[in-house]
Amino acid sequence: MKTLSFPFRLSPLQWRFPPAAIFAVLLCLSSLPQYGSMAAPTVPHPEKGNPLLAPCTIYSQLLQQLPFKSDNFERWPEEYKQTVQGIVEEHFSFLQSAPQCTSASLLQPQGQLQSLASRLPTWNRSRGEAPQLKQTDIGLVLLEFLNVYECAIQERFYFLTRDAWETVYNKENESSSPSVFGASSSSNNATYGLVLEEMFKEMPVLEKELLSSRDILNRTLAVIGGMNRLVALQKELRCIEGASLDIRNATALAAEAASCLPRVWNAKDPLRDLP
Amino acid sequence: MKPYLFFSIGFLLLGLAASAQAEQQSYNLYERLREQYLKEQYIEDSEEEVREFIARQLGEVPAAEGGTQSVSADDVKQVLEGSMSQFCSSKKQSFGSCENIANQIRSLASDLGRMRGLGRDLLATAIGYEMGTDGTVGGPMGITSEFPAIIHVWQSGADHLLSPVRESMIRGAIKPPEDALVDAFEAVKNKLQDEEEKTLPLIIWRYRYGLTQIKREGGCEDKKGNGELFALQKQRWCDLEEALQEIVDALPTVPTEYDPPLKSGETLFFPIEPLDGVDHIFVWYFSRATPAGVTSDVGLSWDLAVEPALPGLLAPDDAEDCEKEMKNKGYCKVVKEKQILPGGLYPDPPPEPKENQGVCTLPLGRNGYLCRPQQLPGCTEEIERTAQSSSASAGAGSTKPGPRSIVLTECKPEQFKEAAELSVTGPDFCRLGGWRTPVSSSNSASSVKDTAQRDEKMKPDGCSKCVVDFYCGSCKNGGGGYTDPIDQDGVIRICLSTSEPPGVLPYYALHELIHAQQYCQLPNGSVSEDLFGGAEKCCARERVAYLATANAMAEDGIFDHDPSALEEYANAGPNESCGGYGTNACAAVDTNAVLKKIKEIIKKETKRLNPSPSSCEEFVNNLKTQDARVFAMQESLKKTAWPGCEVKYENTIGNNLCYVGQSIEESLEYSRLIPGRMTEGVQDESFPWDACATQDPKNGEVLPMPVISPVELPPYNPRLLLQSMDSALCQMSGLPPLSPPVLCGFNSTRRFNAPMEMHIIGFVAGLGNQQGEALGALNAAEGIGIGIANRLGTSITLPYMDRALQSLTALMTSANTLLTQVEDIRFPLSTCPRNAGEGNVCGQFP
Repeated sequence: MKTLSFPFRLSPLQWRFPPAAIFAVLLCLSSLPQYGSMAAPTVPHPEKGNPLLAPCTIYSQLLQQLPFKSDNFERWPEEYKQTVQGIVEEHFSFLQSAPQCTSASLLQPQGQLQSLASRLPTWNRSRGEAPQLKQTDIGLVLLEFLNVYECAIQERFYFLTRDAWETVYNKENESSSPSVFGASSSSNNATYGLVLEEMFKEMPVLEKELLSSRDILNRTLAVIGGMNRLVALQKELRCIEGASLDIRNATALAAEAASCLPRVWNAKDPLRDLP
Repeated sequence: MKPYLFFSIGFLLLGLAASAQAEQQSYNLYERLREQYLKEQYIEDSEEEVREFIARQLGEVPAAEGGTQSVSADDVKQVLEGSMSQFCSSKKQSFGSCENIANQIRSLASDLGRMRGLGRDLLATAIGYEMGTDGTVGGPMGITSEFPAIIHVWQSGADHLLSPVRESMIRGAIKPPEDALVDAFEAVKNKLQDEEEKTLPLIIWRYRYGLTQIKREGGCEDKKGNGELFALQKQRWCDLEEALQEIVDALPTVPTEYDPPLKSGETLFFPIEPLDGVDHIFVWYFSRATPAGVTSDVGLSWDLAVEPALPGLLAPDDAEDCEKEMKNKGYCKVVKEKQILPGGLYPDPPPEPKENQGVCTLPLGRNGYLCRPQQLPGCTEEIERTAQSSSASAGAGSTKPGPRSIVLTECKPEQFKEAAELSVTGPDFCRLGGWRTPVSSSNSASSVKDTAQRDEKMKPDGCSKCVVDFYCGSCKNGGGGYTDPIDQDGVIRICLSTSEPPGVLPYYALHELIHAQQYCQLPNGSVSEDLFGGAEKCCARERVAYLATANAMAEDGIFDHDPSALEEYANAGPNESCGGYGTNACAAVDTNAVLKKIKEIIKKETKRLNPSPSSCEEFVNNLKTQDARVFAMQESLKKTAWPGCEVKYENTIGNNLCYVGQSIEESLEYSRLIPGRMTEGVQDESFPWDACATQDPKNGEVLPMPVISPVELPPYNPRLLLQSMDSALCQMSGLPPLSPPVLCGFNSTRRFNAPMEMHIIGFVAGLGNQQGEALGALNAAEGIGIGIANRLGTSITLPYMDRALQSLTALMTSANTLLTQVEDIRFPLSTCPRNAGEGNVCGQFP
């Protein structure tokens, strides 16, 4: 049974609060200023000088290319899962594929891994010189991606009321005319209910993702990481195998030629030989 | 004389066949692990077996209105899903009492989740580290199958007989051998589909090393047991075994029915068979040629195993008497009353697998370091080095591996004196060994058929310099075999003793054929002194013969129970044969003791493994079917590049070079390289152009072969590593190393012993912070543990890989050098001039 490490240290069997307690907490949270996260994009980026240290916020421009936005939360878990699963499956394809023996490196990163890495600050070349990515860096990239995902989840957790408010606001905006969601008190009352509903909907998802994502990835990387130590050797062996076949064919041709050796060496001078 | 090459590509597909199958289906690793984890930790759903176990464990709980009420699996499900209101309403209890029951459920579920999670984590680690090197096929990596494939491409047909280690002779088939197998696979699939989801992993783990090993346990019985590990250790699934046996029965039992025929000791892997509808599980099967015929085996495996065989939780309904099986009344009382397997009472630990069990039964794994001592030259030095590197744990000045070391491998020192064989007529390229494939059913190089008597009319034909005549009788010196020197007609007669068990005759024949090859290099009419005169000559020539014999025995499985016997026999045998030159003339070993042991092994194992031939006469008269190695060895007596003589061999680099080398050598021995003419005057030169020939820059050049260093497996000191970890744990707590290390753990009463805070709020806050302090240390320990383990693992792996790859690199560099030299050969564009008086004759020879 896993323990939730942040922001509350609870086990999944212990975070079944009475609804009244949750409601009270939510009321307190709703009284907090709602503009904290909105201010984030306007804050200068002190981390810019340290490209290897990714910021723990989805509002950094460094992470703008990642699929975690404040207005698409319902897609976050699926986006994360699909991305990780795609890269893991791609890694297995890489293990079984024929190596590019003449390329500079046998461990050239595959497309999906390269794509994800280029969206992470560490390997983002637009920020300057980036470390050379190899396919065996899959663990580093996925852990970095997980780190960003957990940050996004935690941030959502902290500012759940405000983000839920914004989500509901956007939905209302999409579904009805702006005048309906105006400044009237009746509209505001209706929205509070929707915000609470949105929060109750998001809370279990946040808890589940925070509880499980890291451990599942750790178990996945335990399998992949063990194999990775042999990847270079396996690729080299494949190349040696291919080279061996080439050499075998060359020696087979030499053997064909060698079958003529008696005639070559016995090239006597016919004019001077006695009959 | 044109060589015919076998294009046997099957072996190359060994890894590819498995990979191709695997490529068609996704591993879905992340999705499978995610689903497993969410269920294991009760985040999404829960395992049915766990729910039932908890319900049976709790049994009856106090009811609100008095009496008791039972807890069902559905109740457990409600609690684990957090549906407390539903659970409490069904129990009709106050919130507090209801919560109390729920807490008991959570507590049990927590323990089970942790235990099952640990098992799966350990499996994930083990699978990752063993993938590709554990000797199984069908996974995403196949290092162990890549190596034999490459070795096969490079080796000549004789190399495996003359190397001092037993090698895996493996090839892969491109397609299944029989259409009849389709029904058998369907039957296996149906049996597996009928099983419960929780049982499937147990079945796969049980049959992962093949049906043969399971059948050694005795006849199949569909019984169930009361031990947590019963299913993994003892349970049988008889219907499934019958279906698997059908696969084995459908495979050919005669080596010649395979295409190309199976050599003795060779294993043929068939493509793995994925089972539609049973995801990630497949059937593997192979055939192996032994002297007794073809033995086949079949088993089940995963493409990527993610589910371990977890201990059983629920007592089976139809299990046999518990007390009879478990011999523990307290345990069985719980089993009977609650129908659960309470845990904590395990049967005796399974015995350590012997060197011929478990993974060592698999063709790819049986030659690994877990299954036999390491056998490489220079092992004496290796033992000393291992001892020194272990001395840190054994105490200063110790010369033996410390008691805390787990020695992963052990060297058997080879003490053979470096006797090199010197031939009369040159290098005798590939003369020793059967690299050629017989071109006809009659292997004799004579028109006279070889019989079990002395065939006096036998003579070599135009394609052979010499011919072998086997005969049965009482041999010279009372041995099992004896080779007469080559006679004036080029006939070499080999005696095979009729007093020896017929099963060992193929090995005597192989041994004597090596000597026949050696005699064949000598001029006709040579005597045995020419070949064996002097200790050095004798040892060199006997060593090769004994090595080939010992390898053949090892291939046939005679040394499976004592793999070191191969090299011991190859060392002690020459001492015996060259005894006339002194005691231990060839190798510093206890000859009598070794030979006594070897003779006992041969006597025991040969009878078991070699039911044929039944007599010496049968062996000589049916040589082709009796032993393909002997048959092929005879073929090597023939000339190679000779007009009108047919040559056939498998297309490998080694065999091709054997052909090229022998062709060149025969050209040097039988032909003039520079055209000559008859002289006009008595004193004239017969071959005036000889003087013009410049010295061959390549002539006599020796390519320094790299020293193949024995690969050292670093000592593994788990106890020492754990002590280091304990020390680190104590340091984190600000304490010196204590014993037992648990003393370094967090002291939960420490706050009470400290001076009381003035304010009660500060005291309570300090008390509350204690947990965070302990958890902080725990998290740090977990984090640092992985880091330490990683570095220690790397410190073991890197030196090993560095040394192993160094040898491989050196070998490839040498091959590259040789091929570059071949590429650099420049042939003259003009033929030799016929008139010495015209122009600058000698200048035309570069």
